[in-house]
Amino acid sequence: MLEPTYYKDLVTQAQVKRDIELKSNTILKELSFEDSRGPQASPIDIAQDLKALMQDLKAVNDHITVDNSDIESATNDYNKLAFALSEELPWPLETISVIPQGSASTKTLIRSPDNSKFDIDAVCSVSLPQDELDDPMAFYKKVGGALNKWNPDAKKRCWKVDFDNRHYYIEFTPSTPLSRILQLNSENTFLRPNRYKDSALAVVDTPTQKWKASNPEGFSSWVSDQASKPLLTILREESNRASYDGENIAPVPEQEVELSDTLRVAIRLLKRHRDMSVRRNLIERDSKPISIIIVTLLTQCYEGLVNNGASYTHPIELLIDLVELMPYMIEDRSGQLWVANPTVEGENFAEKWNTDTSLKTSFDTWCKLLRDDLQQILSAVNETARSKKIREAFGCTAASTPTPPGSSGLAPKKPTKTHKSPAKSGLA
Amino acid sequence: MNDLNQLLHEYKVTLDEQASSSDLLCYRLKLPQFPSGRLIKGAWLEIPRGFPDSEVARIRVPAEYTLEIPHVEKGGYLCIDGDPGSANGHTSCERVERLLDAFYSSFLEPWFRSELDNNFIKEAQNYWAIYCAERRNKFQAISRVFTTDNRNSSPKLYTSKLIDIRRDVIAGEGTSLRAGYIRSIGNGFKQTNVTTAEIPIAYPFTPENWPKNLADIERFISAKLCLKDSRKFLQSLKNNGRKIHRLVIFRAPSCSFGYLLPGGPPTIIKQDHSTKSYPNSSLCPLQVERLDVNWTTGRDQHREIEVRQTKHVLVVGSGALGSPTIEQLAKSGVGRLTILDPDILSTANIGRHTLGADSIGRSKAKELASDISKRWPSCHADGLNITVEEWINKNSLREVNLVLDLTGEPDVRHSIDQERKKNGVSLLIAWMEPFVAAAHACILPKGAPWKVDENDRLASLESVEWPSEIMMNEPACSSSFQSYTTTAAQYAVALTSEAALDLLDEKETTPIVRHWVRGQKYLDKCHSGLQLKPWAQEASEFDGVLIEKEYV
Repeated sequence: MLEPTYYKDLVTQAQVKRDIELKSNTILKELSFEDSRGPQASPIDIAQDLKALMQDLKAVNDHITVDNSDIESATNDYNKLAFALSEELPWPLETISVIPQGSASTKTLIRSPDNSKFDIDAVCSVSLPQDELDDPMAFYKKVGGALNKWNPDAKKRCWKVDFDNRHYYIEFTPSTPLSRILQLNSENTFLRPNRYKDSALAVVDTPTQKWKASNPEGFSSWVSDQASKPLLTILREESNRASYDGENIAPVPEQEVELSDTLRVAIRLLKRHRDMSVRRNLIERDSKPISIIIVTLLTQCYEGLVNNGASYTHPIELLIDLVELMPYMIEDRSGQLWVANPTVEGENFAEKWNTDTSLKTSFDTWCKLLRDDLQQILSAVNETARSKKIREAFGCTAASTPTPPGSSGLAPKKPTKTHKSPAKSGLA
Repeated sequence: MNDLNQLLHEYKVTLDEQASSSDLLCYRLKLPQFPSGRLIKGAWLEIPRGFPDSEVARIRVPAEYTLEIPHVEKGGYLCIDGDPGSANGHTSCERVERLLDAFYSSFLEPWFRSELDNNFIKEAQNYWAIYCAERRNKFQAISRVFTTDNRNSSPKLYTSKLIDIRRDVIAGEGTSLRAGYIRSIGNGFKQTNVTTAEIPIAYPFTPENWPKNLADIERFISAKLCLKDSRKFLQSLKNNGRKIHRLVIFRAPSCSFGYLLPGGPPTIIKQDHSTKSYPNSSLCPLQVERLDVNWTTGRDQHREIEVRQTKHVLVVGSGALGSPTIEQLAKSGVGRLTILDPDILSTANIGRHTLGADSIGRSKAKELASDISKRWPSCHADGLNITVEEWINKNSLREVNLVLDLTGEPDVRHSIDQERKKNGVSLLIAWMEPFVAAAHACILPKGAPWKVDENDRLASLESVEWPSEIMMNEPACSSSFQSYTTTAAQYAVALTSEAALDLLDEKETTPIVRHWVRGQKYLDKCHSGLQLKPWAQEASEFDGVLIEKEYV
C-alpha cells in the first residue's frame, strides 16, 4: 500500500488540489520578483535575488543548528549510557543494539526558541529469548534497572535520563525485533511486507503493558533514503546515501545540514517556523503540529515528486513546492484524516485529529501562516526588508560571539573591585 | 577629580566635544569589533553638571537601539545597575567605575554572547510601556485599559465601556465587578461602548514580535477567534467603522497588551469655546492594567481570595473598631458585607472612624457601605441603619458565612448567639479595653456557642481590673465611652481582622480566644495604679503580647 508508486499518485492528487484551491495565487509566482523589479526583471537580477535569499535562509539554518559542543557532549553521554546498557543488561552482547531515533537520527534536530533542552531519542533493542517475550513489563524494568545509576524517569514507552547543567536529555526506548514476536499481543496490526520491515520493532507500551509495533530505524532510513535522492538538477549526478556502520552502538549523527539537502532543510525550517508560531502566540503549544507529522508529510511529498520525475533548478523552488503541497498530502480514508506511518502498517500519526478538531485547526492555521510568511518574504521590496522578514518569521537573531575565557572581557580595564548591586526598593 | 580623569584615561574614553554642552560632559566609550548583526554604533558616558552631588552619571547609546536591544530605554539610555548616586557614600571615581564596569560586564559582554536575546520577554511590560509612550498622542480616544475578568483560556468577544472624559476603558464581560468599577471610575461621566476582542497568549510579546500594523492584528484575529467571531470583528472594521471603537487585548499570564484599532469615532476635544474633532486613524498600542481581585487584593500571591469573594460577612457595629476592620475585610477580598449600626456619625467620632467630616450627621453603616463599594468594587457592601435585633426579625443568618460582633454590647451578643442556634454560622466577638490596654477576639466556629452555662464571660476575659472612673460620661447624655487613641486601636483592628479572616478561611475550627495585652510600662503611661490580672501577667515586661487560649 505504501510502496513508492503510492506517493507518486498522492503527490499528483495534491498538485491538482493545490492548483484548484490556490488558482494562480501560488507562492511560486513570487519567485519571478515581479512586484519588486517589474515585469522586465532580468535572469541576472532574479539570480542575485535568489542568491541573497539563499544566504538569509542559510543564516536561519545555521542559527537553528544545535551547538556542536552540545552535540559532542550529548554524544559522549549517549555512548556512556549505551555502553552501560550493553554491559549491564543480562543478555549476550550480540543480541543488544542501541540506535538513535527521532530528529537526531534524521538530522533534523533543531534548537528551541527559548534554548530549552533538546532530546536525543534512542532505541535499546534486545533480541529477547522466546520465553521472555511474554512479559514486556519485566523487560522494560530491566532496561530501566541498567540505567539506575542515572536515576531514569519512567515514561510511557521509554526511560528518560536527564542531566544537570546540560542542554539535553536522552530517552531510551526498550524494544525487541518485531520478528521475534510471533503471537504479538499488540494494539497494532502486524506489519505487512514493506520496504523497511527488517528494522521493525516491538516496543513496550506501559499503559497497556503490551508490545506495540514501531519502526524508528525504518522511519529514519526512509527519510534518509528520500533525502539522498536528488531533485535538484545540479545534484543529479551525486548521491549521498547515509548508511549505518553496522556496529551494535550506532553514533549520534552530526547535525550540520547544507541547503542543497533540501528535504532536511525544509523539515528543519518548518519545525522552526512551527516553534516560532507558538512563541509568537499564533498557535497554541498544546495543539501545535507534531514533528512526526511534518516530517512524514514532507518526506512523502518529496518521494512522490522524485517518483513523478520532477526536477528543480533551485532549492528555493523546491522548498516552496514542498511547503505548498504539504497540506494536500493528508489523506482522507473513509472520512478519517490520515498521515500514515510508512514503516508500520496501520499506524496513523494524525489519529488524534479525528477526535480533537483543534489539532487539525491548528495545523491549518500554521500552514496558512507559513504560506503568508513565505509570500511576504518573496514579495519583499528589497533585500533588507526580506532579511528582516525572514529573521522575524524564523526567530533568527544574530550569532553569539564568546568572550575569550580568562581575559578581562571586552572592557579596556579590569574593575578594581567587584561591584554589588545597590539594595532595591520595595520595603514599604 | 584627578582620580576620575585617571580612571577615564584607563578606560580609554575620549571627550566628545560635539555631544557635550555646558550642562553635560559626554565621553565616547571604547568599543570592540562587533560581530555581524550585533553592531552598536557608539556609546557615551554622560556626566552631568550636577554630578556628583545631585545627579548621576549615565551611559547612552544611539536612540535607534531602543526596543532593538534589551535594556536600552528612551533616548538610548541604558537601564543597568550603574551609578548608585551620592547617598551610598561612594566616591565619584567609584561611582563611575561601577557604571563602566556594569556597561561592559552586564551589558556589552552578555550582548556579545547572545545572553541578552531573551531579556525582552523577561521585562515585557517595561518595553511595552516604552513602546506605548513612544506612540502616544494626546488625541487618542483611549489612554488606558483596565481588565476586570481573570485571564481566560480561550479568546472572547464582548462589549466594554469607555469612560469618555478619562479615556479609560473598563474591559470585561458583564460581571458585577465590572459594573462596580464602571460606577467607581466612571463617576457619572458619559460612557460609550467598545467592541473588545480579548485573546489569551502563552508568551508575553516582545518588540520583535508584537503586532505592528493592522495586518498583524488581523492575522491574530483570524488565527485565534472562531470563524464566526473573527468575521464579526473584522466585518465591523468595514461596516461600522465610524460608529464604534474596536479594542484588542492580548493577555499573557504575566502581562497584557492592548490595541485600539483605527477607524472608530473621532475624538472630540472641547477647548474654550471651540470643539475640535480628531480622527482616530492609526493603530494605537495601549497599556493594560488588571482590576481582577487576584491582582488588586493579592498580587496573585493569595489564592484564598477567590474563595473569599464568595463569602458573606455580617458586621454588627461600625465604630472605631468596626469601620477599620470592615476596610480590612474589603481589602482582603471578602465579596459581600452587610453592615448594621443604628448610630449617626458625630463630630467626636471622626478622630477614630474611617469616615470623616463629610459624613457627619449621616448613618455610619450606610455611609461606610457606600464608601467601601466605591473604593473596593470587588466588595459589595450594604449598610443598614438598624439594630441587629431589627435585622434578625426580617432576615436569616442562613446566607451569612460569618458574623462579627464589634459592639461590645451584651444584648447584641445574646441575640446573635440565640440566632446561631438556628443556623450554624461562625461568630467573632471582638472588643477593646480602655486605652486599648488590651483587645480580645473570641473565635467561635460553627456550633461553638458564646455563652457557656448561660454565662456571659466577657468580663472574665479582660486583662485589667478597671477602676470605675476610667469610663467617661458624655455631657448631657447617658452614654459613656472609653479613652484611647486611634493609633493604639490599630493593634485591635489587626487582631480582629486577622481572626475574622482565619475564621472565614476555616483555618480555625475549634473555639479559641486571642488576646492582645500591653505591658506594665504602657499601663503606667495611661493611668497610674493599673494592674494586669494574674492570667495576663506574662505580658507585663513587654510592650505588648499576643496570647492565644482555648475557649472553654
